Amino acid sequence: MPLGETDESLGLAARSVAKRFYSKGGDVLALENVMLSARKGNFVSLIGPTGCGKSTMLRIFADLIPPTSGEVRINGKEVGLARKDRDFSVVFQSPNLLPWRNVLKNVCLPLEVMGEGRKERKARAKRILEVVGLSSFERHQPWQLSGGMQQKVALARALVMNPSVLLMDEPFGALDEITRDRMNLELMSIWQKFETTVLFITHSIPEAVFLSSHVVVMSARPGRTVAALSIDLPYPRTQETRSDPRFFEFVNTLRKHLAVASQQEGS
Amino acid sequence: MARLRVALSRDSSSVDHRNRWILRAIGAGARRVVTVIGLLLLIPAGWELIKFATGASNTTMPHVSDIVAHLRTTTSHGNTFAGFLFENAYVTFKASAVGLAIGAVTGLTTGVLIVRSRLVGKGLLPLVVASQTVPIVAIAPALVLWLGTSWTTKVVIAGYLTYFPLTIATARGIQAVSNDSLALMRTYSATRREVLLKIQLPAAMPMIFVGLETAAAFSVIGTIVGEMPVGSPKGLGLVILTTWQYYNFQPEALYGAALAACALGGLMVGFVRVLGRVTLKDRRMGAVL
Repeated sequence: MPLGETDESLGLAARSVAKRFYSKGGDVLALENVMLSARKGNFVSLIGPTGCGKSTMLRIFADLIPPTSGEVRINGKEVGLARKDRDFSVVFQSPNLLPWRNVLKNVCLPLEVMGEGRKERKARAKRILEVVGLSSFERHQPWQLSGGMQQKVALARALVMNPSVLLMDEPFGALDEITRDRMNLELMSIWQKFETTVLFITHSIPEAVFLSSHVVVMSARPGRTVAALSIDLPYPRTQETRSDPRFFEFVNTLRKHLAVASQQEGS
Repeated sequence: MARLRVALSRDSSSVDHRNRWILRAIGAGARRVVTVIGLLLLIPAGWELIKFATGASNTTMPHVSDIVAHLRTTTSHGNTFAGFLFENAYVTFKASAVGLAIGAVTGLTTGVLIVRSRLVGKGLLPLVVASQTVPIVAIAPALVLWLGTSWTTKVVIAGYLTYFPLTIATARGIQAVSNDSLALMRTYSATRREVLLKIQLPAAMPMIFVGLETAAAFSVIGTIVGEMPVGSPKGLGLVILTTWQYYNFQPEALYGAALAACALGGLMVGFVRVLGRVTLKDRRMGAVL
């Protein structure tokens, strides 16, 4: 991972990030010396054992938690500023759709906060729902959709703001494997249409290899970035990619890295 | 030809399906009405049974038929007793509706304030709880002394009883919002007002309506209690007080007034419930949030 590049060309950059949580029960060092960067337009996955702090790192990028030390930048800007400039969007593991709004109105939510006019909001929301393939479900209520479709609505809502960076925290973690594979393909085809930099957190090594241009491995708590692998499989990624022998090589290499990383207990 | 037949059969089966659904819905509604009427008839049946079993006199427990008959008698005002009850019930209704509205608005505001600022919450909540532990029958006479026997007193008492269930309902409803939803609003750089109006209050609506149903019943009680102490010019509280005084001559009148009070309470709660169902029609709360 080239860290010597100037900040502006990096969609995401984290340098020597540490995070300590203070509590009455004792302090927890969640992250230590995390180094992570992604060039604009790249798809970067973050994998690691449970509890290693991947979600914490994502939330630091999203300006939801402040880092204890280190630098965090989005598009070369400080994350607080990036948030105000609406440079990034987040997709969490559960869709978090508002049950009193239909699909279209749910997708309109960020635009309402941004102050867009009603006609413009509806038009943009309709366009994005077409891109993700949910046009015929505009008037449906969230509870009428399956889990996978709800997550697609959440993705549409994240993309409607036209962010340059997308932060995704195990978005398909709650789905079954078949749906997850299908969602991966759809995510790839949707992503190709935008030029978003993506930070994708997952537990699944095959998912990480399939989707990303780079995979970063984190150790067990305190989370440290211990390895980064460049996945030079061609884009667009399709079902055939999964049968490519190099796909299996990458998966195996990462599995070894992850096994080592899981054993490293922190200070 | 085969295609036409298939098309026709599909059409008729969907019409069939719809008709069956309509019949089922009518059946369900009819069944509900019959059940309610049946249960309501159990009350006079039970009444007569208890009267028979305990051998209560006609003064202590008049026959149901006597109570109903008394509703038809003419009063000194020229209308039937039932009509007289209706007039007074209407007066009580107006006051309790206003009391409910005031209590609802105050309760909602207090609930929002409690959740917004932890400091304010810690200070307000014990006060709110303490205010409800003083029995209303102790406060009502004091309020009458301060504010007189005007309409305002009744409304204040009704509001006093309704604002607590609404404060708690609002606060609970808002607290149930998931952290991820709040996190998402932060990433949109939403203002606190936007979070309140777009996420927290709509999310709290089901709980608020639950509190509103309880409050509707309390507002009727509060108004009637407020009408009693010295006696306001009109209202069910006054009627109950007066018929109570003449109990030995005409017990049927008191029971008639009590029935009217029950009916009014039932109607208020029923109205709020229907309002809630209409407002919340598209929802199904659950794991989505």
